Amino acid sequence: MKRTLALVLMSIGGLGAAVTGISFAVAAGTSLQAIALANSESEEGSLLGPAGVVSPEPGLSDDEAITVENWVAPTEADIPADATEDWRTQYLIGLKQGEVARECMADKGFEYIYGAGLIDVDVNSAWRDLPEKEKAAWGIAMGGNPGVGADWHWEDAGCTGVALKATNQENAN
Amino acid sequence: MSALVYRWAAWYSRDLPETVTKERRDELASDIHEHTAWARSEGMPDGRLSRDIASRTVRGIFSDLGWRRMQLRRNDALDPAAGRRRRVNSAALFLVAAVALLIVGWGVAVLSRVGQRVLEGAISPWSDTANGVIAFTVLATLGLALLVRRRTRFIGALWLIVPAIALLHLGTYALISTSVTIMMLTFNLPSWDLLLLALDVSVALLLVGAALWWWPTRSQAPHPAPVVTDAFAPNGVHA
Repeated sequence: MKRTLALVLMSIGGLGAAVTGISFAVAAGTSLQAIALANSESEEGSLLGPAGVVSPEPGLSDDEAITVENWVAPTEADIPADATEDWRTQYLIGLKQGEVARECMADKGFEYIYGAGLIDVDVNSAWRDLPEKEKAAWGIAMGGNPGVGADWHWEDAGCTGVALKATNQENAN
Repeated sequence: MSALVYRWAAWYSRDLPETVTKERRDELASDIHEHTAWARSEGMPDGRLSRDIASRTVRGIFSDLGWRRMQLRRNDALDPAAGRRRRVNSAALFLVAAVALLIVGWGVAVLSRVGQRVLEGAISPWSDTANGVIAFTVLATLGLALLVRRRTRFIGALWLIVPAIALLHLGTYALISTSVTIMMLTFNLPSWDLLLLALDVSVALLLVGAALWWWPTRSQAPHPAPVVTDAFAPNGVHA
């Protein structure tokens, strides 16, 4: 009886873990592919960058640094007609975060650079050509020095934290 | 050196009927005795004798394992239920050890990522989450160590439940703020929470089942097993 119960539990658990692991891998792969596809197809750039790094504004190419001077405030007219409500909401939140982060960085004497925080993506010549020391200083100004997980506090997260707080997304993690 | 030979023999004759293992031990003892007597009569130094015995043991490893395989096959044919139990036992050990290794590996991978970001000055060191990952990775390693000995295997399986579940959650939590990929997945994968929950439940069921399987019975006396004598095992001994 004990051995039979153990065998049943191990079978269900083993099978469940295998199926969940495979489902997770497939779902993650599909999701990441969809994100990559959305990024490559969107003329407006990615909406799904890390917190504080938002889509470029209309009229600017991916390779053009967005600054306080050349930034053009987006309007709802920039949102595709077939965009879902979630997409529209995220877009507007992203743009608002960009606006706040840009102002915050300008207050600290830095230029806001689109896509600077993306890892392993050489998105922007303005970022690529920045000296390493300036990159580090820029990174601290933008991302601060927050903790991990539960210790993450928007107050410690530089302009990213400020942008998240301004859009009520500071607890989104 | 003889002690090492006997330990090796005890390992490769595990799960076999006591009569078979005793017979193997006796043959080994006789073989070592004869070898030692011959070496003494030849005036061979003890160091060289030890090296000779060690060399014979190493050269006989594959034969010893072949002997074990043959004995197990014969015993399985005579007692199919015992054979099934042994196979389930091996499968359970393989599965649980694989889960434990994956969990420890996951903890180490998360810590290396967090450490990398700390060195870059991007995040603060010694956060509660990172400390939690360290603590549960150590606990998972201890659980893995408990699986090694048969007597403590059921404790190891139960022990691993908490660190396994905790590391799944704490690890992904730590990576949200240190990995763009994980952050994107947590925000964009609608089934993220459901999959994590399913993984929690599956791993817990597997470990509870394994603990139950390995739970010591009240009587530790070995169950009667068929005797395989020389009549069934013509192969010689490879000491």
